[in-house]
Amino acid sequence: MSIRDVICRHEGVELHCLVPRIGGEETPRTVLVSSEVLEIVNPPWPPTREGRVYASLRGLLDSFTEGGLITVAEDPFDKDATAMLARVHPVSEEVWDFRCLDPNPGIRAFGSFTEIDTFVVLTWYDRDNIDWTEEVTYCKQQWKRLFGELTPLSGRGLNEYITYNYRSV
Amino acid sequence: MNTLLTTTEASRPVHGEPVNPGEFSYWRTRNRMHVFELVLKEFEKSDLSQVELATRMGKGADRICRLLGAPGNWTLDTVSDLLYAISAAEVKYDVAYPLDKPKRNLTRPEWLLRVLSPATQIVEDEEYELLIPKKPASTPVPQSQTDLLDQLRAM
Repeated sequence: MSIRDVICRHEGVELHCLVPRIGGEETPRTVLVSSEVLEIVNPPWPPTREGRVYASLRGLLDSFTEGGLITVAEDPFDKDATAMLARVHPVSEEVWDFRCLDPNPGIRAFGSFTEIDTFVVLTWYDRDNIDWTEEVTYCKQQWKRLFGELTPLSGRGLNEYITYNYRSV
Repeated sequence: MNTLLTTTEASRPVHGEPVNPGEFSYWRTRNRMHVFELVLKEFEKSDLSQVELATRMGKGADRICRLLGAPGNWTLDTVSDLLYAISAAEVKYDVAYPLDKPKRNLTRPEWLLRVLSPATQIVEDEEYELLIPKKPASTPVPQSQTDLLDQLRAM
């Protein structure tokens, strides 16, 4: 069974295709989210700091789906602090995080590429007091729970993850 | 879980009601990304180095690096300074109404249009046909939030 087959099987139950909230052209990228991520990226958002952070994350994910410019860092230890999407240590696990930096300290949403231009967001955590090892482990657990022994996309360069409108930082 | 929950469309402000702060955050994020992309593309078109841009702006190179690394809550003055320093450019202002755009025909990739029931087996790509959930005639067609609000106002 391929990753696509697994996604199809889970879609609408454990995984949800995140459609940008604003209509228009077809989307060149695909974002799927787990149920736990869906809970925070869907409105209505609470009128709190957390609510604003969740809404910003949704804005970031929608922009990614719509093909908006994205700054990406491959190397966890040599990256621009403001990268919007970055691979997390250890690189071999192919866990990346979308980094929503405002309002500070922001939020991190973890997941992996399943194929080029397609990302599955599985878990999230407030940037404050984050334990990176724990978060990567949790993300991998969720991946294994959904995809079993299938592995995420692993490419030799960023152009094997995203086809266009990205900047390496 | 209802898959329609993933297509929570943006809605318009409602007369007499405060806008949810989260909604402001969502639109601010979009705005920041648009401006960031505008400036970064102008910078890349210019062939300038970040060091040269820093010199022109009278700022440290690290500050310029941070600015060009990600969208941020830039002031109008920052945007103006960047564009002018890069290429003697300025923002061209106009207003768009993205909520007036027609809905997308496809809300997910075609390969995800396959809908599997527990009884359905996965078939080879060349054999499968797209299965769209067929709603019974008695089931009302889901309406967007905008349509529902318009109906409520008309009552």
